[in-house]
Amino acid sequence: MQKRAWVLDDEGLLSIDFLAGFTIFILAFIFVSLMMSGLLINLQSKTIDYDAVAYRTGVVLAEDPGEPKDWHLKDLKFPSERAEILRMGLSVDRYSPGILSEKKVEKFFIYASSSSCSAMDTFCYPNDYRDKLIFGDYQYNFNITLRGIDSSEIDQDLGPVPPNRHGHIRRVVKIKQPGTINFPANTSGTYNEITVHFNFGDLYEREPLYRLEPLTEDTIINLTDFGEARELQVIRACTFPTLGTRTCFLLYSNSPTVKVSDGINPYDQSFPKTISNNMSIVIEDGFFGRLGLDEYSEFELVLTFNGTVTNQSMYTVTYDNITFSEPIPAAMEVRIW
Amino acid sequence: MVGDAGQLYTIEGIAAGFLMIVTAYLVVSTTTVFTPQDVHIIDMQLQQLGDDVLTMMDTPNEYGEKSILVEAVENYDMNSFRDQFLQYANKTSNTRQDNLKYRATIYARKSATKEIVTIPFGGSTYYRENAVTVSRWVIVNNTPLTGQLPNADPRNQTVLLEVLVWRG
Repeated sequence: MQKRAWVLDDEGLLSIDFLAGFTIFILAFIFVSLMMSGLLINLQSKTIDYDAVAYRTGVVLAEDPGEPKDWHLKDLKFPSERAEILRMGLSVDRYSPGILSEKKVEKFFIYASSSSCSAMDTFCYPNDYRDKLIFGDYQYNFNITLRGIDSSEIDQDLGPVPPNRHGHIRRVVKIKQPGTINFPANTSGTYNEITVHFNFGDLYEREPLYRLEPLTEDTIINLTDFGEARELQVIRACTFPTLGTRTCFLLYSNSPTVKVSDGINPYDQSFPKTISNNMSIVIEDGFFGRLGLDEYSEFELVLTFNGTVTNQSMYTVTYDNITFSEPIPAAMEVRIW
Repeated sequence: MVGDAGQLYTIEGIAAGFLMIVTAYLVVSTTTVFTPQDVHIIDMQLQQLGDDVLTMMDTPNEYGEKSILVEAVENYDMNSFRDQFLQYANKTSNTRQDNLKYRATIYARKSATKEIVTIPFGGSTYYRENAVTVSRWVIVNNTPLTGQLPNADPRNQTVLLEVLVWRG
């Protein structure tokens, strides 16, 4: 019997095959169309994440000691040492987030414009900061400030004034202050030499905020109460090699080295030096690294005078004769645009 | 022997293949980005700041000493806590300071009854602004000669200090 055109027959029904194929197609189409919006990301992506970049930069500055962690000892006049710095973090230690190193803060905020910086011991603005702190493909502009909370001692700025729309983060930190070693002299004693002995293993036992860090910070030794004037003739440094005897030698003349102040004039290395009542010695940061010492080494500084200065054969540096200034709280703000 | 039917199948096959390859390329080259709403970013910034302030207040200034936070909680000194918290939280790089307010509460546990007591610890009145909560566990020595935390057991214990922080 001939079929009539308007009667439904088998050929008009949708087959299972067609339904299955159509369903899969529609699902795939929905999936692709939802992801199409992501195609335009590359045209606009830098505006989305200013806050994210600011947050990440804040974390690197406040919580990361940097790579290498003693990057502030590098001399940037040498391109190879500049290239060794991969990340500029200001923290003293990775297990002490929020505690900043004073030396790292000082070095971080010293910069020069890109045309003249490569021959100097300063960071290049803005390239070094973009490569070693901000990261990312886009040339972000940045402004980083550090202000003491109850002290005007800390007042640093880096970068131009930002526009109204920018990514922002504020972190509260404490800046660790270096400790000073204090020993009393005694001119009615029996020894002509003052020997200051360091046992780094004892010093590095404390947690980073409360410890003396001779390897990465300046070490200041104050000798007081001389009573009578004496002349400091020479200073020698002595190391204790693992297999060997105590070896003493004269100091280097170029930094990092040991310098002396008679309490009135600035630190220098001019000997003989007349000491009236007190004196101060600074062992610059990086000096011990230059000698190849580490956290397990011993070291002695021997000062030879022209008369008796003490009745102690040796002064051993312990936390009983070290005083620390309180860490300085500060607010750090990072702005990115 | 070459007919239209064969060419049509070939063209169909090429078109289908082209469509699949283009689709696969589009799928692979798109990036899925999760853009948080603005208010969550502000919340995160405030939370990080509040966390930093409590951490710095809980960092003793000298080795072996108690921190300002521990002393304030042990002595139930709301004024000292308020002064220090607001000073740390509102400092900015401009001359104009920020305008953060807080409301602090201490939660302590009674060892005899196991109940949690709530001890208010000062701050401004909260009128439902958009706020974040930051908290810190504080080890206090609440024995009679050392600590004066009211309603808490007179013993060494760990209490929870919760601070609600908002801008405005």
